[in-house]
Amino acid sequence: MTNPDGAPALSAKNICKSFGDKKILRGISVDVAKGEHIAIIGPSGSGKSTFIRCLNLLEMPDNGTLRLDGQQVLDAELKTPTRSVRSLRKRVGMVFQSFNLFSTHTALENVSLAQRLALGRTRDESSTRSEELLKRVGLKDHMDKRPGQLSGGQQQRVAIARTLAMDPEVILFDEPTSAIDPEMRVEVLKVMTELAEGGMTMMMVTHEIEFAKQAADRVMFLADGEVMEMGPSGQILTDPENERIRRFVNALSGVI
Amino acid sequence: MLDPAYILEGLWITIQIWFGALIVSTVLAIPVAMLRRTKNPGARFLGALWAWIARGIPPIAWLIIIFFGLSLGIISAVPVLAAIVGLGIVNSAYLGDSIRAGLDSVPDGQREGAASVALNRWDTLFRVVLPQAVPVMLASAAAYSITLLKNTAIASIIGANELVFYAYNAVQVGADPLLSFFTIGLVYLAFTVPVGIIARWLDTRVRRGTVKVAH
Repeated sequence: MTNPDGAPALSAKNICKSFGDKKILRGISVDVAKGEHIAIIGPSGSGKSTFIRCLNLLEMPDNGTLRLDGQQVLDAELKTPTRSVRSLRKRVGMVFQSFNLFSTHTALENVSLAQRLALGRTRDESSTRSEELLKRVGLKDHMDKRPGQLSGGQQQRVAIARTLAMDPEVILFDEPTSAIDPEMRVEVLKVMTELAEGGMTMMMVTHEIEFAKQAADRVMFLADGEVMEMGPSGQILTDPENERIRRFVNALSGVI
Repeated sequence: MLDPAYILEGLWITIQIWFGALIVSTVLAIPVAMLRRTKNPGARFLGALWAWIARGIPPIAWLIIIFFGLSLGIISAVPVLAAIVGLGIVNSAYLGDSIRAGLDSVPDGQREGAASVALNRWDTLFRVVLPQAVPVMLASAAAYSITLLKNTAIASIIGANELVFYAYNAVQVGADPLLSFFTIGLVYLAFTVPVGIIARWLDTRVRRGTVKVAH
């Protein structure tokens, strides 16, 4: 099955997830090509967050398969062992809505910790890499601060650096700007745009329509746990055929 | 008059019981807290049962049960050991609550953040969760340790020669009761007040969030 060159960076098939009796995901499939950027939009409760969390197994799907670069990493009916979950997470980065930085560690340590503990890099290697990444996201002067001393936008940029330090093949973003003050969002979106331009494979749950238009190649519109529509971002975000999507996009863009 | 040499000797035994019971209770409290945090209802019930029994029986009754009632070999033969085990059992219920509350105080996002960068369970616990949870645990554990220190006085009932034991004996042979017990009261205060101050300092630090930062 392995076909590194032609295979999608990430391939999800028929991902299903229920919480109790409530069906959250009713079989979602997507192939993400290498270097592709997909925006996931949809009303709250549509399953966007659950879906993206299933992609790095923060939620274990009830059913479905997951392939990374052609290699199967999850056959949900078989339930892969923990070791394999960790190896998947080394390859698939995650940026959370609420940042989830380690609150007792400095920005530098946040970025370095997993490089040492999960990737086995030396202290020097990891520090050098962390400094370089924190500079790249514009936080040169904040490396020794703890999350509590940083603004939301700064924390999210540390979180992006923390993920980049793992050299992931794909990065998942779960509403990365929703918990940030509007004027601080720009700096995070700028970093994300740079990543996209650099060719990183990205899946992003977002409400930022303008950003999605620019940065996303394709848009996935989720409703009630299903893909209602999937297509080029230009088409779906500027001229959606589906009435429900049109209303949703207009509402987010502030068009009445 | 209560002889200062006896006060020192009694204090030494009091401290042995205090520290001994702290150690015993810590050893017992960790599995109790773990049982109470699992998803398994049976295991949770066992943890809760332990806490109910440990804390639902008066400490003095525990000491008497262990010293006179059970045959636990050397533990039941030596009053100080019986006191350490009995008070350790009682304190384990409270300390179990401290440990559980400390672990619960760390937001799930911290564990998710650790999981997302592939940290294993061990590293997640020791590098991410405990640094945040321990100050929360210590704040309430320190407060409970004050109660534990005062409860060591009960050990005199089963003949452990700690502070109250000497004060009581001195009174029996003619020392002034008020002065004797006032004196050992001051000795207790010399320990309970500083520990209380540390507990409150930890508690305000935790509440202010310099230790535990939201999200």
